[in-house]
Amino acid sequence: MDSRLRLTDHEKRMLDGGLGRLKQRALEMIVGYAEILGAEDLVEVTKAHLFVGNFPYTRVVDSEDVDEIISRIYLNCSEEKLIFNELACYGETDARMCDPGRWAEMGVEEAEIDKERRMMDRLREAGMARTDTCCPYLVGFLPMPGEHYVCTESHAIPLMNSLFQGRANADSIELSVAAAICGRTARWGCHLDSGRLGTHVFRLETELSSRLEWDLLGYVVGQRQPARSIPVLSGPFGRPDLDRLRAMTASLTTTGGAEMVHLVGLTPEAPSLEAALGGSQPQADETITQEDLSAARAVFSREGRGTVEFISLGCPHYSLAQLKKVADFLKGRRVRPGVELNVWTVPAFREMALLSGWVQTIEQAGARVLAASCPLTSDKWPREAEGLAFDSSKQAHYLLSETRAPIYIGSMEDCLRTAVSGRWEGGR
Amino acid sequence: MIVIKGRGVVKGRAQGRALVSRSSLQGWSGIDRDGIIIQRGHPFEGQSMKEAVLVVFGGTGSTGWGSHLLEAKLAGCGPAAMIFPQMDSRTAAGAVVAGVPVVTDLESDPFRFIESGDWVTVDGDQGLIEIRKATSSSPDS
Repeated sequence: MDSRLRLTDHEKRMLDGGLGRLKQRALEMIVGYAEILGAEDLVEVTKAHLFVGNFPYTRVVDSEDVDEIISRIYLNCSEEKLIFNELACYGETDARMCDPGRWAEMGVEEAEIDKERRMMDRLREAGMARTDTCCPYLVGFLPMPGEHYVCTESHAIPLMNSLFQGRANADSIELSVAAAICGRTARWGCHLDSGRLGTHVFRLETELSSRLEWDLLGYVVGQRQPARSIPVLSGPFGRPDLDRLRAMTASLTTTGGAEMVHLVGLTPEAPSLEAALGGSQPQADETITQEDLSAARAVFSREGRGTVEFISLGCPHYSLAQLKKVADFLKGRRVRPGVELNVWTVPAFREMALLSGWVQTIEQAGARVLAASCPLTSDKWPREAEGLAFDSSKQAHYLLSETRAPIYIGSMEDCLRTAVSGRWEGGR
Repeated sequence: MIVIKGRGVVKGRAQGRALVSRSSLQGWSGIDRDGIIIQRGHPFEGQSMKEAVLVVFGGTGSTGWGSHLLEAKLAGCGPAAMIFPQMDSRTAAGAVVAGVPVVTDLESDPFRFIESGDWVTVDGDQGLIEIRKATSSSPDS
């Protein structure tokens, strides 16, 4: 292969094994990745948010030896076994296979949680922080403008790139782990000024009045944009809060794969449409109407008010402000018997919400405040339920591939009213 | 036989029946362990990528795109080779972990020349793909 890749003396020494086999293996993977992308050199990575653990897909390696699992899955070794005990930069964990404190009631078997714990021991040895959330930016993982980082959580990448001007691509789980070990990744895509410019324009022709509509906007843009494109959104955005923006990037990176998303007049690299495009002509210029948003919603919700037995909120993990809204709604109300209502959040936020009295209010109503995971990541959700409801098109979209049960999406309030009545209250 | 030149990014030579879609494919909840494409509404829904030559526009959805290729590969159900018109970060990372021949940056639009069912050879060493149309010749002929 014709490689244009230039390495520094430090990188050459690492690649030759001078800094140990683990770093050498990690850099071999990064060099392969950089050559495939056609990168000219590597960038130094300063922080890493990593999806590592005993997840349903990693169980394809039929072994109790966590080092063997880590080697075959994360380090892409066919035979060799390496000990993952070192990172070159700050590292922290992404979501987990279950709520670590409530695994039994989630239906997780003891052998699986035991394997998870042994993997976590290995991560502790590597010096990783246990943040256990899909929302690194909610608990202090905030790249500065121009800072190169890696992150395995798809929705967090466009958010942190566009809003905070951090620099990362959707490097995958394996290449993000490798980057954290060797401290390098490919200088390509969003690491370059030229790779951050908008390519496709979407003009919003309707006002967005709710978090759900922001979520649907992301869903539609993701469906329409081709791979390796950067959407530029313009329209009457109003003043969306972070919870609305992250609902949008969650759906955007479900149906699409954006690593940047410019919002004209809102995100710092898009003071104007022209600036977001870098003065170039867009490859496409389309409009998005209220009808488009309604069509996206109709992918899920059925007509009428069917029975709902399982409701999950908190994708992405709920913020403290969202937990407070749930507690305020459920105060003095009761979840209908037979309905399971789970509210997912960041582990640290569950503790804070407990101190604030909100967890008690929510759980007294018959719901659960769970931390660290979600139905999709844990794969613990009732496929046979009569109806499933979410306030996130990301959960709904992915679970649609795995069940024929009716799936509804609505606002947080729609879902909470449904939990009380047991029938879908959100319309469509 | 049609030959298209491109850039070989993962070495090796492999062949198989083509699985072709201009749309992108999602990895998470898109490809299962047995190599079956489960993405609801995708043109490949219900089909197997095992031993096939995957020709898609790119990767969408979770950053764990390649993880599901890896899972299928470790289960013995991965594709034989892959062709992408251009690389994106998801497919590039998937190419690293899948470890099967991959050719990209082709001189001609692969979607104009390859249809599902064609017999395709992917030569990652030379950066070439060879296409035998399903209608004109069988792989054995």
